[in-house]
Amino acid sequence: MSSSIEHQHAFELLPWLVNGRLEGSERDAVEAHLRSCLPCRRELKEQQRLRTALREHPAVHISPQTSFDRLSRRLAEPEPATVRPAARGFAAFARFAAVGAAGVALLGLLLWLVPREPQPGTYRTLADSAAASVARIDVVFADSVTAAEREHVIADVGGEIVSGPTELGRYTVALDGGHSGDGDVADVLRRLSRDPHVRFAGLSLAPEGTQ
Amino acid sequence: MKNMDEGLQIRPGRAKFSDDASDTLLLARIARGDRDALRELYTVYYHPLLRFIYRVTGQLELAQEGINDVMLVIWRSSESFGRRSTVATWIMGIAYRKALKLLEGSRRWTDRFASVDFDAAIERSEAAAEPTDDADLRDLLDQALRHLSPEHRAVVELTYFYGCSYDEIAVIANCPVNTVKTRMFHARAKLRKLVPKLGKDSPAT
Repeated sequence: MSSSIEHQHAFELLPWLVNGRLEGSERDAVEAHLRSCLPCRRELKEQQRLRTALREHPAVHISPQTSFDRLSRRLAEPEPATVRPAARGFAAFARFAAVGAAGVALLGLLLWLVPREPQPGTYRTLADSAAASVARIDVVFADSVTAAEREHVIADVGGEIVSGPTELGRYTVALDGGHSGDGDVADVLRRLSRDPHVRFAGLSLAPEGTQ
Repeated sequence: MKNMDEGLQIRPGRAKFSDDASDTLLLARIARGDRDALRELYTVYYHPLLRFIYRVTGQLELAQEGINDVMLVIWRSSESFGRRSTVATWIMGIAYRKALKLLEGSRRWTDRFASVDFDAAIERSEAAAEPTDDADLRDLLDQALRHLSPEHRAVVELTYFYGCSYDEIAVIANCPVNTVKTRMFHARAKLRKLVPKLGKDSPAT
């Protein structure tokens, strides 16, 4: 009696049986239900495949060093709204400064919305001002990749580097008209993600065309 | 000083993202303004956060921005950690909220991809050549995940990549446990339609 469980409830809980986080009587009940329910056994297999595929999916692996350096610079900037334990005595000052911080935050947002300045020696091509609707993707290359290899990889998928690298190593690539459909972009991303020169490839936030 | 790239592993599939006792100590040091402790925590959480925010937002730029937003919150409010959950759950909760906020802010640029017709996506998926290897399945899955809502993607990712219990996910997403189960249920149904291959035995098995 204690191990009986409705089919729907057991079915809902299967993902957590699969990931090993179901415990005690709940786990016993779901396992007991599985023994007599073929659809749940099929679903269990399906969820095991899903988990395996997700866990094997290559993680985005980019060095944290540059990113941490950026954070350090943000910490070094005056953060008047930050009330660290030692600074609590300055609450009045913090309140005053918070107004300024709100202004800084708004400015930050506006700056974020403005296209980023490229790093020195970065790409900036005609495609930046192209009016044509082109899909844009982000690409991060492996550290050892040369400029020639980079160009080759991108040309191979019918793309053109339009900006980058950012401080964090990201290039924005415009795909020509023949690769701008949703399925085509997915195909390009698939090819790039399997290229040993490429560490990451994904859809870009960069605005399209003249936006 | 130790290079941050040394020994970095994302440790997929662990029930916990890291060791809670050592995370708690790090957080206590961070609350005292110890930047070395922040650096250590950053190293431990960088890749788990990068992947998670990337998975929820689908944008590398947002993921890279989001990590530092999360770390800034930790730096500023580590003393507010109430020990009602593990440190990892608390941090992933901050990441979840940041990811949704960043995504909301970027919607005007990403709607084109988010609004792709679901039926058309299923058609494409069915028309695609039978996957021949695990990499193909992962590619199909990658595309299919884009057709889930960010909230559904987060539950799938937290369950299967980070090994979270439904209770932990409820804390991270700040929603009732039943909502977690329902989101997972609908995400599974959608993935089953988009990736029929999930329901079939692979040639290798």
